[in-house]
Amino acid sequence: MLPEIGIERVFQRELDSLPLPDEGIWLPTRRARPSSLAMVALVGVPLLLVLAVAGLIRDASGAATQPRRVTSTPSSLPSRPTCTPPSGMNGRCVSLVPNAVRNPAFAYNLTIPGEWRETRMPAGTEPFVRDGPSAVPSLTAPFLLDRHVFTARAAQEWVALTTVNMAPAWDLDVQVWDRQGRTALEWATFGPCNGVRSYGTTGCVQTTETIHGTTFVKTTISTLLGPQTTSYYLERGDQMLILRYWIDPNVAPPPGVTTATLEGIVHSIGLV
Amino acid sequence: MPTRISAERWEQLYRLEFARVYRALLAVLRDPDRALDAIQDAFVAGLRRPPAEDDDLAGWLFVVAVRSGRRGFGRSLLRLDHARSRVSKDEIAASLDRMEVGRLLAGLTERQRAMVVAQFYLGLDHREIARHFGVKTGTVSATLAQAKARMRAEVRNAS
Repeated sequence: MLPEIGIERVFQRELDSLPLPDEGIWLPTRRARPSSLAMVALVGVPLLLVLAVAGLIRDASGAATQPRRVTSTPSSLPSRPTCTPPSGMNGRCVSLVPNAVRNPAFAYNLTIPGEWRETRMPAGTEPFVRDGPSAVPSLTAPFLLDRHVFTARAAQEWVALTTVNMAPAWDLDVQVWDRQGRTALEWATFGPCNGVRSYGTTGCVQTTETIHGTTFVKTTISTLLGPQTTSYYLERGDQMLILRYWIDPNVAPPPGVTTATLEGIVHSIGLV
Repeated sequence: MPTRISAERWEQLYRLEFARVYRALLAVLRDPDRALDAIQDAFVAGLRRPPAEDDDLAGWLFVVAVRSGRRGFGRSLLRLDHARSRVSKDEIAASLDRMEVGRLLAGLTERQRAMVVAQFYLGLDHREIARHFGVKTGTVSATLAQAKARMRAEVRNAS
C-alpha cells in the first residue's frame, strides 16, 4: 500500500529536481499566440506565395527598380532582460533564479533570491522574547505557530552568528503567532515603540505600509550601537504574521545583500 | 465580487508559480517544449482574462496549461521558436524514468497523471481539482482511485 503522506514528500523531492528553462524565456516573447499563429499560417502563406509570384512577374518585366526590404513581425510582448550579463561570461547571465517559497499552512508566499535558502533555528530557541508587562502579547513558544528563517549565508557561517533567540543580522525571520486577541498595532507597540527606553534602544518609528493592497504595521527600532530592527505586522484571523529583519553595521552582510534586498523579499509577499 | 488582478500583478504571480507549475507539467506532458508552450499559453490566457486574486493560482495555471497542452498536441510544427528549452524531451523522459515518481506516473493516462500531480505535488484537494478541471468531485475521486490502484500495482510489480 502506498503511504500517502510519504508520497507527497517523494513527489516534492523528485519533481523539484527537474530542470527549469532559463528565466529569460519564462514569459512568451517572440512568438505569436497559437490562434494568431494558425491565422498567419493559413492566411500568410498563400499571401506570400501570391506576392512572390507577383514579384517574380515584376522582376521579369523589369518593373522592380527598388531593393526589397525585409520586415519582421513585431513581438507580441517586449523581450525583457532579467539580469545584466557580467563581463567575461560570454554574455550569459549567471544570477540564480529566484525561488518561490510557499507556506500553504499559513497561506503566504515569498520570493527569495536564488542565492538565498531557508534555514532552521536551533531547537528550543524562541524568537524575540521580551520580558514585558502582562499587557503585551505573550511571546512564548506555545503561542508561536510557525517560523521560517531565510538567509544568504553558508551553513557554517550562519551557525556561528546565531544568537539564542534571533536569526543573524541580514536574515529574514517570518513568524506566525496566535495573536491572543490583540491587533497588529498592539503587537507593534511595546518597549521603545511604547515610549519606554530600554535595551539600549534610541527610538522607534512606527508607520503603516501597504503591500499589494494589504496594510501592515511597520516598526523600525534603532539602538545605540547601530543595529536596527525592522518588523512588519499583519493580523490574519486569529494569527499575527510578522516579517522581521535586523541590520547591523558591525556585522558584514552576505555578498550582495542590502536593506533593499530584505525589503524586496518582504514586498514579494503574496497572501493567499 | 472577486477582484481581478492587474497585468503587472499577474506577471509577478506567474513568475512566482512558474517553477512549480512547469515541473508539474513536465511530469504530466513529459516534454519540455510542450510544457513551456502550455504554461506560456496559460499566461496569455491569464492576461486576457485574469483569475481572481484569491484563486489558487498554481492550480489555475496548471489546469489551463494542461488543457492547452492537450489541444496543442501535434501542433508544435506551427511553432516559430520551438525547441527553445535547453533540455531535450529525451533527457526529461530519462530523468523521469530514473525517478520513482516518474516510473509510477508513466503507467497512467495523461488525465490521471494530471490529477495525481495536482493532488500530490501541487497540494490540491478533490474539490479544488474538480473545480479547476470542471468535473464532479466524484469523477476526481474515481479517477484518482484508479490511478492509485495502478500505481500500487506498479509498486507491487517492482518489489
